[in-house]
Amino acid sequence: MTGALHRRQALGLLAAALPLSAARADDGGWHDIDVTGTSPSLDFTMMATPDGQTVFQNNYVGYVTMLYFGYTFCPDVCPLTMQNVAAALAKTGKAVKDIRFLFVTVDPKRDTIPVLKAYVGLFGPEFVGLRGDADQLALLTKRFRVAYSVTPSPDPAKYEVIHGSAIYVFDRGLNARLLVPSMATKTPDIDGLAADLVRLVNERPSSWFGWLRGIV
Amino acid sequence: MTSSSHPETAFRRMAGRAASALLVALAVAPPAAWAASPDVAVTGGRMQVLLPSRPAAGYFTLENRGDTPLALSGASAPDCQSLMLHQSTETGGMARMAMVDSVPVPPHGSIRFSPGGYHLMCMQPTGILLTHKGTEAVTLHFADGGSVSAPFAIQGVGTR
Ligand SMILES: [Cu+2]
Repeated sequence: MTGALHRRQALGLLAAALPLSAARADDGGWHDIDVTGTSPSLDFTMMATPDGQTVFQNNYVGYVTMLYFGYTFCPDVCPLTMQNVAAALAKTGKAVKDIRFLFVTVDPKRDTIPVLKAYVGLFGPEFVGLRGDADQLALLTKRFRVAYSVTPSPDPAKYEVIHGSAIYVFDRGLNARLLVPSMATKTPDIDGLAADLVRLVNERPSSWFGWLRGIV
Repeated sequence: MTSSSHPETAFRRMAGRAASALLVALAVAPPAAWAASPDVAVTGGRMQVLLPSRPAAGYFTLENRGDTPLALSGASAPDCQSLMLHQSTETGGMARMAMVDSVPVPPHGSIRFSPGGYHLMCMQPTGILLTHKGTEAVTLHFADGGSVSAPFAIQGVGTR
């Protein structure tokens, strides 16, 4: 074995190992829950704000993407979650241009695209509203084992919606990387989320393969 | 209010008689604090309004300065046809919201309606609420029949 070949092999091994090792080696550094390798990648087809255009996961290749399930008749927990995310985004500096927050309505009957657009628009340009038909929503929620329930009523006061409170975070190659248990607590770790988002935006080289996979 | 009048009596008399006077006073009162009686004080009242067609949420701190327990049992406001006591809870990663009948306020204790917990739920905001400016006169009702009004600062979603 010549020295040159040896070096090449070593480099090849190193490159192949990078996507996994980069995420695992310094595991302790994340502020949110590391779900690398244990949660499925981002995969969906839905209508998106502002104009109802159909989008799918590949529209978000190259972005660090947050995925959250809510509804617009939610004046307390959903705005609190998104206000805290917006506060975190404000601390990400230039990285913010590569970050998106997907607000998936679990109440598509009432949440039309114009209402979703107005609602997510309250929180900032990085916030996107997604509305799927029953099948599209079922596919996405099952994929991430997100439970929700909608109990319609003619009386809006009795129309009950229960939804998951976690935020899933995907890297630029659409791989699931982090789980933020809830941003609607009394002590949300806003600085921690900001640091994690910036770190994901900056790790582009190590998620090179996943990113490529997403493009192809 | 004279020093000889019993605080509770004064509170009831005020609550019963002077509702309209209160509303007038509220229009010019600062939103910081409103001690409506020796017994209770409402501070930090605010209404967070999102969209005209969607519910708004009210937040405040209520202090019971008296010696008797109180039970907050309802709320009303001129620009909310329905204003309910609501509570958000989170269990097992699931968030839900439900109406509550009453919230106890212990003597010399206080309760906080704040994001992610208790909130006033204004099902359909109208009027001045939609301007995202000024104050809304919110009345809190107690199980014993008394009530207190306080100005709630109207605001939109504050982010950056
Ligand atoms: Cu509510």
